[in-house]
Amino acid sequence: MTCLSYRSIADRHWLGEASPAEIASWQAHMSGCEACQTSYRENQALQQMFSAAAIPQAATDLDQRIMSAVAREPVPGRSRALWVEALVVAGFCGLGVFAGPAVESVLAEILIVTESPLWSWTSLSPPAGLQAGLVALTLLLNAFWMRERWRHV
Amino acid sequence: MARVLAGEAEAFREIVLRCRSDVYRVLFRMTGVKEDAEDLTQETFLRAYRSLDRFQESEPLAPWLITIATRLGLNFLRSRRRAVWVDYAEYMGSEPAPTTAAEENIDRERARFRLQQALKKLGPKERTAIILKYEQGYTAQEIAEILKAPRDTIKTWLLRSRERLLKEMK
Repeated sequence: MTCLSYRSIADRHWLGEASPAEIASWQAHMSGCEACQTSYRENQALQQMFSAAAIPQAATDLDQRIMSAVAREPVPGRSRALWVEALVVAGFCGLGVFAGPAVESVLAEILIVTESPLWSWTSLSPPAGLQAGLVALTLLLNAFWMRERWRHV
Repeated sequence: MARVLAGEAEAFREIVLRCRSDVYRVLFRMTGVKEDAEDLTQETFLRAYRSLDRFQESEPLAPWLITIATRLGLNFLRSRRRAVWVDYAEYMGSEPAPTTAAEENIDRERARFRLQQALKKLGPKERTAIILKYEQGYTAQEIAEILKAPRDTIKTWLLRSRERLLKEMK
């Protein structure tokens, strides 16, 4: 094997991808090769440069700043639970609006409480105002969901 | 983690104390400016806190935080287009005259300046990859996972960046 091949092993070792056998053969070669030793020393010098280069101390209150910011946040996952709760409530509201009259109608038919049921199957659509309210509620829930999702991006 | 999710925000402090230094180091190397690195460190932990319920406890915590930090750092560098690098002469001028006790610090500052100047010549992603390699000792595979890039691409970035740094530092 040539020095070039060994340097390729050295590169893979540096990248964390050389096998123990490859590393052993490279080290054995390097012990007798001045050029490969120089190349290795240069790479080591770069690592030392990173270690030697000062990193200014972070502000002493940084941890406290982080914790203060965290304290202002809702508990993680709770916002999603709120969203699910809101959806369930809205779902039940919607179900009540649509299914209530139907149940009432069926009960009226079965129990013959009245000659003509208060609501018929054909008049299940809620009034226009209620429909508008449902649409507004849906939009509100969507806005809430989008806001919460955006906060997690 | 369970304590934080149960609503005990103060338990998050342990995570901050354990990982803040690593996050700050990486961000400082990326930005070259202490104040920016601090702001981004704060933002990293805030994002992590908000996403804590999605974190898999079987995964190691530090790489997850470093992933968030590098993403924020890269966005920051992209948004600014160019990093503000402290002018060395100006910086040294604001320092007290070197004394025997301060000489070591001055050397470390000089090393930092040279390194930051060399890093500045790399693209943001290459810079981030090489910082993760030298500051955190991650393998190419780990860096690929953090930067969400193919492993071969990372290997190319690392080898190319190392060559460029070696040339700059000579």
